[in-house]
Amino acid sequence: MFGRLILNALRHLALHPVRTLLVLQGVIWGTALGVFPAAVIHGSLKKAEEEAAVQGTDRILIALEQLEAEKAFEWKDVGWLRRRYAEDVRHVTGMGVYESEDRKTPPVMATDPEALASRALTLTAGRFLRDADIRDASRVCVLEHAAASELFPDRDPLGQSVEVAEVGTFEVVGVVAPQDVKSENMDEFGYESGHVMSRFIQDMKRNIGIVDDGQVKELRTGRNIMVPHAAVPTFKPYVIEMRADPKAILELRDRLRRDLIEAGFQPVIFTNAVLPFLYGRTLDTLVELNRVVFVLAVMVGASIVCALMVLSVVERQREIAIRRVEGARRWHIGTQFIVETGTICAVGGVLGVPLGLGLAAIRVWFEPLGTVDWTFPPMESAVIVAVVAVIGLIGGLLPAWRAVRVDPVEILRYE
Amino acid sequence: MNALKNMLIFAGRGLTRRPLQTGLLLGAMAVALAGVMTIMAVLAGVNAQVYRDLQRVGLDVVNVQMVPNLQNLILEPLAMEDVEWIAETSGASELAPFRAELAVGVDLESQRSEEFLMLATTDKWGDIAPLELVEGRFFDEREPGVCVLDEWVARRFFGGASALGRMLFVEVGGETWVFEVVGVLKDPFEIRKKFDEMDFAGAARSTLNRALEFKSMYVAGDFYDERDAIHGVALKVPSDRDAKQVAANLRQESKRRGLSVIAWARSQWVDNVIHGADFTTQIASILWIIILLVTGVMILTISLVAIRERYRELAIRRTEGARRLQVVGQLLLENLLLSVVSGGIAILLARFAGRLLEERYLSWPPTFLPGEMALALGLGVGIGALATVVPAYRAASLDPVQTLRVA
Repeated sequence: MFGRLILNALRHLALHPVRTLLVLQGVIWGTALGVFPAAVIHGSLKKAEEEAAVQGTDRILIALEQLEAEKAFEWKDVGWLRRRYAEDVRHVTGMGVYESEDRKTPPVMATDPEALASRALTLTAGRFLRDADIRDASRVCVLEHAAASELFPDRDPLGQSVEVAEVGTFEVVGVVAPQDVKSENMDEFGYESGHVMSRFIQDMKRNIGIVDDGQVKELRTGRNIMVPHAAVPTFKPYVIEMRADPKAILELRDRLRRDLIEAGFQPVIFTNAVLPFLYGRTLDTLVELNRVVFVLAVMVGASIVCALMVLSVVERQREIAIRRVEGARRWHIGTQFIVETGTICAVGGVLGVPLGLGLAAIRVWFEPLGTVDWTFPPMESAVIVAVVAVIGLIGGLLPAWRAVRVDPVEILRYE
Repeated sequence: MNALKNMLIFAGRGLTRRPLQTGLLLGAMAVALAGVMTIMAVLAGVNAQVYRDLQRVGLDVVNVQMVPNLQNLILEPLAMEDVEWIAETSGASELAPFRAELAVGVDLESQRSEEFLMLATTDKWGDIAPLELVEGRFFDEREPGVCVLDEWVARRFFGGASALGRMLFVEVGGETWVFEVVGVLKDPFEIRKKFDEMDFAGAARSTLNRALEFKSMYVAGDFYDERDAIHGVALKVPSDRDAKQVAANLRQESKRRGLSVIAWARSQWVDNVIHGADFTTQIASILWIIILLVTGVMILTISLVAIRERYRELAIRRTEGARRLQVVGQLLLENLLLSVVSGGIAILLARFAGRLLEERYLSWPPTFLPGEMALALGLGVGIGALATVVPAYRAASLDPVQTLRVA
């Protein structure tokens, strides 16, 4: 019985292909606008957490603005931060990069054993710096990949010694792998350098007063010679790098700032630019705003579907009358209209999801922040399709009611 | 004239005879147009607000400051004689040296602590940027132990309550000071009321550039004391000179003197920011172009279907002796009436939606630019008309006898 009703309704939709298609696209757009923000938010959250090390969403970089002499970091400050934030921060390391004046050798980076984890590096050969190296001020070094190929293009660097003017000789004990290409091309805020928008981003950074991050940039060259800081006691840690849970980074950043300022420093702290959007209050506002837009779009869609169905009831009065005379009950005809609108809305809803994903993909393509991504949001999509279908059903009630009130005898006699 | 009046009456009757359909069409078109208008107005509103806010930072002010660069490890601070030299070279009418440091303040009463920029400067600071006080006064010359707060800072500490007479304990450079609040400066940036958090780079901004955040505490500095090193100078350019010119000149002259400072006009900075904001809005405009297109297609849909349903009626009109052009004209007029009325409703709806959005989500008033509203309306009416003429002509060209017989 029901099956026949539904078949009948579908046949009517197929009989008026132009109308059906036009209405359908309206519903599709409405759904797409609902799916689009959810796809971007979920995609970005996923990327921020799963690729945290590559994207730098788990990273805090601290540099100091030194307008006066006495306010530089010391190695004991790195230890102080490590103890103070032991519960919330996974790794803390200090780094100071120095280039010799003759520039013949790659720059020397004074650091500590935690650099491996804090900078998200991996070893390709040998070992990393150890606590014992710091204790004994051993003259050993670990080469970054570009430094290794620059110094020893055709030899195994392990066991070789590197001589740096003004600093001395170090024995190579390890080599680290090149960083992920993506993270090498990303600045400290997570903006991609080769992106179509990157020039605009550069301008924006300057305009909002971001300092020239010379020391921070040195970290990404891949050509540093990492040595235990105790072996070069005059080198100070100019940049401190930390890793923590992406969700906790914003709050940590604020605490760190306050602590450092109270301790008399003038910190400049870099974190991934996507974090305030993903984990801040802003997201809630945006999501709520999007929901309003979605409801509005669906309402427009529903009122149009409703208007069209009502119009078609008028056109189809004769047809309805004949069906009534043939013995169709009122509720048969009413159901038919509800099924018609319901079907359009359900199909439109389902087709709207891929369109929404397409819009999200375009949006991501325009985005210079590497962490912004899109994904298929199953829950939201299901909810949106369901909401659209329900609204479609409700929107079908009005035309159904009109259709039911048709008096067959009156209509047919009038003809 | 009379003919037009008759046609109008006829079209009106055509609409009122089918109240349900007309109402639904009217509603759908009005809501769709209102949506487009609201989005346009919200986007235009951001730009207008950014523009208004930025005008308040002082367009005739030039900043001269040490170079904020992490690699310039230690700079030589400016001395009072450099300040005097800057005053002379620039011909400034007002000038204030400043020293900027990040500080953490604690209000003992509420136990609240906040970080802000502490700007040690002179009483002249209040004369340089357009000074608007929420309450109290600016400090006097070398008045110790008192401070003036930016509204943003005052609100963080004291909420809506008056800040006057409150004591703040301030940690700065590893020392603790106590200041009494004597004044609160009005926040020039309305736009950040609800979107402050989106300043993702706040923690990474150079200390010296943070003065333009207007999240500062101002205290009187004694710049003849060596401990209060000078980080920069803000100066007001006399009205007959161009601030950008003065800044360029200062850059050149200070290089000759061997001072490592940069000089920039705030108006130049404002231009850059507005330029950036314009660009961002242009990208955002893609959004309303899409929505406009979707709306257009929806209006097209309604008009098309509305005519398809009326073939019979039109055939009868033709057999009654109406010309083709008359039939098309009638439909066009009906549609025009419909679009104009729904456009009017849309404007009201959009204004209402704009106010609602402003109250709940935005920190700027949506701006309804007449040009943009006309564009949206014109597009609605235009698409409606277009969507009427073609099918109406087709309907009118059908053989009425045929149409009636089939039906």
